[in-house]
Amino acid sequence: MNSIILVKVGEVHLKGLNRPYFEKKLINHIRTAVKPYGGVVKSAQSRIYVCGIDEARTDEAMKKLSKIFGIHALSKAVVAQKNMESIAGTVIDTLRAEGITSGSFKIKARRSDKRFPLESPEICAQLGGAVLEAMPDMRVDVHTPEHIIEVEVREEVYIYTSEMPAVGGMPVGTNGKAMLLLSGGIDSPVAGYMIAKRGVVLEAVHFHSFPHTSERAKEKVIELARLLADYCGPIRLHIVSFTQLQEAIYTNCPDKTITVVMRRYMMRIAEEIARANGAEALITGESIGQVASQTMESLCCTDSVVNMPVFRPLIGMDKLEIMDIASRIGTYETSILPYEDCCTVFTPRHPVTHPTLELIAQAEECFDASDMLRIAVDTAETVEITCD
Amino acid sequence: MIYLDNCATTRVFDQAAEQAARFMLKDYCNSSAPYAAALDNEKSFNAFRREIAGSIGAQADEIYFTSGGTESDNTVIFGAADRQRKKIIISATEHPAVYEAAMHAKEYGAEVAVLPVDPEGRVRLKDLDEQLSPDCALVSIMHVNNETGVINPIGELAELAHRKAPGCIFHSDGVQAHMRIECDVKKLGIDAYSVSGHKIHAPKGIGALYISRNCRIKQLFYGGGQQNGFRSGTVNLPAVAGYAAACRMFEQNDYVSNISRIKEVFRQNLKSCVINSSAAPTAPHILSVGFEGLQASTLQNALESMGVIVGKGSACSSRSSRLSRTLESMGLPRAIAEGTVRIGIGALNTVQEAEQACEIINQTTQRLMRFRRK
Repeated sequence: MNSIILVKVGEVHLKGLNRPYFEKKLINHIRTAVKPYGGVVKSAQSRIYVCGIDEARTDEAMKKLSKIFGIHALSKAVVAQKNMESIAGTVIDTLRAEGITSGSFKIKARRSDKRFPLESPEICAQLGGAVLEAMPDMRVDVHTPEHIIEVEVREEVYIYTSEMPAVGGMPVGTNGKAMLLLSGGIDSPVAGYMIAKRGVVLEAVHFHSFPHTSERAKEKVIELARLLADYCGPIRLHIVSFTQLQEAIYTNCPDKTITVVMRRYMMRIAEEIARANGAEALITGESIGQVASQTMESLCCTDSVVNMPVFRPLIGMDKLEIMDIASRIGTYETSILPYEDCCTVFTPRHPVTHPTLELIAQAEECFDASDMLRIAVDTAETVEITCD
Repeated sequence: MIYLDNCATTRVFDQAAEQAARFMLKDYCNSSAPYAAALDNEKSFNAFRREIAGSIGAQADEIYFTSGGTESDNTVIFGAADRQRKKIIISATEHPAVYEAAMHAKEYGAEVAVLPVDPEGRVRLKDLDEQLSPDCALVSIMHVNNETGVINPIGELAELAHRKAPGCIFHSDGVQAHMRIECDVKKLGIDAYSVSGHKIHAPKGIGALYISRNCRIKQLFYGGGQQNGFRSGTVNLPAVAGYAAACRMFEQNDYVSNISRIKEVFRQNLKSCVINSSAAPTAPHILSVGFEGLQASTLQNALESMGVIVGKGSACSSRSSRLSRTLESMGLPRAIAEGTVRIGIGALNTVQEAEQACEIINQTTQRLMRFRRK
């Protein structure tokens, strides 16, 4: 049977006059994803189709497509000729091929090609009759059917019985670019995923503190970025050598302020790199009260050093909810690898949980960080992460 | 690079690599096959087996080749647990190949007793004595600890086990002992002994299990019936050849004296540190050094950037962030255990390297001490 992949878009449909812009972006992403499978992308009447993929690789291609933001669902559809005899025969063949020979069913027909002689209810009635005749153990139930057979009459006729959910959201590249602070923990990859889902291109910055953090810790972050790239597309990862600055903070600032001061320098560096690379916002994986640096007062202190929006998509989420998403998107197992993280290597025993701006500003007066800040920005290593 | 992680693995001796290569590139016939070329290989295999058996005072027919220490240990744990007797006694500081296997054996009905160790990391006779009972199937206590180098009194422990629980199997993981300290299985009175090639400059993927003729252990592998049916699978002759060559190198050269000299250089020259297990006899090639307040991983990273490679705890478990089970069992303060690195000396290290390494380690630890946890 000749089959194609039917791509269903979600929110893109709600767009008005600028819908073609979003669709074009999405089609480009789909085209890139299916190229290794020899897939050809077509678009007509608000539907996107992928054809030309070998049957044996269709499931693999669908899995890859299901990670593209902007796609709501996917169906593998069988193509029938545009006459009722071919449609009925294909419906019955499809049901048999999928092992559906008994139970309740419903035919859902959509006649987008108005030149087709039968209207949708007539198509449903005729096909329902054909199924009942060929498969005596099937019965019609239009309210709560076990099987729904969808028939779309377009320039060809597409028949499918199931739908694979995809990630939804907006096509990446339709909503600007933001800089993700990627630590290597569970939260930041999830935060990046959530913002990219809104069509935002991701770049990422990672703070590496060798020898306090290892080469393996750095490799882990590169792997996390690679996992994210499956959804978000290519990511430019900036690896900042943070050792000198972090050691200076540890040596010079009062113990209890170390974490917040460190976070503020991370934000400053991230903002500089963001501006230099055309990103308009920062993304962090913070959620209120998770650790000392994520209390409202601490967040206020870190926010006050940057002049661009800071997106914190996890701000109201529980750790368990974040872990669920991390598991679903496949970053959890990598995130929990036990390598040191520069956010935790110099954690004081009793960090301040309700810092004031005055206290933190005073702590920063303890040493001159301007040269170290400049060096950290200028010497950042850039790694281009591509998707598989 | 000054490589001081020889307890994790070693560089293969040139002679071992050459001997292994011969059986990969030239004499590659399956030694179990019926033709003449294979017969020559079988003769070579038997000679290598005799050589390796001799290195631990065993007879050739008491040696079974395995893929390494882990397989040898697992074979004993599960081969013994299969018997009617239920009890397995191990020590708290065993290598994971014994410890985890014993924990898993519980799922098959084994009862596992874990012996504590003294502050030096040694098993005490009285602790074993308390646990021994007639239903004891196996006692498995390592000869040399892989993290601290401490030597267990294996002969006395084996004698006690056999006296108090006649019929029980006494096994020892000798992976870190083999060729570095004397290990004559007959004199020690042990029934089973695990050794591994790559710890003594032989290729990876080859180990051996000594099983005394009087001892019955059930095999794990079924197949072509190689090695008297005990360990099916085509014999890895190149690796066996390399292993035998490495043993020969140790027999013919006094590496151990050199290794001991090097250890002394570290003992004398390392500053601001605690040498773990220093009050007990230890193997000459392992030095467990604690730097209070430092993180071992930070020190390891910093030393690597200066060209010195050291180990952290056991390499097999060093990807875990948990505190070393061995150091914890010894009751080491957390601040020392967290800052403990392992210097593993190999046959190819030199005194000059050791002096240079000491200088680098001292400079590095002095610098890192400024960032000790407050």
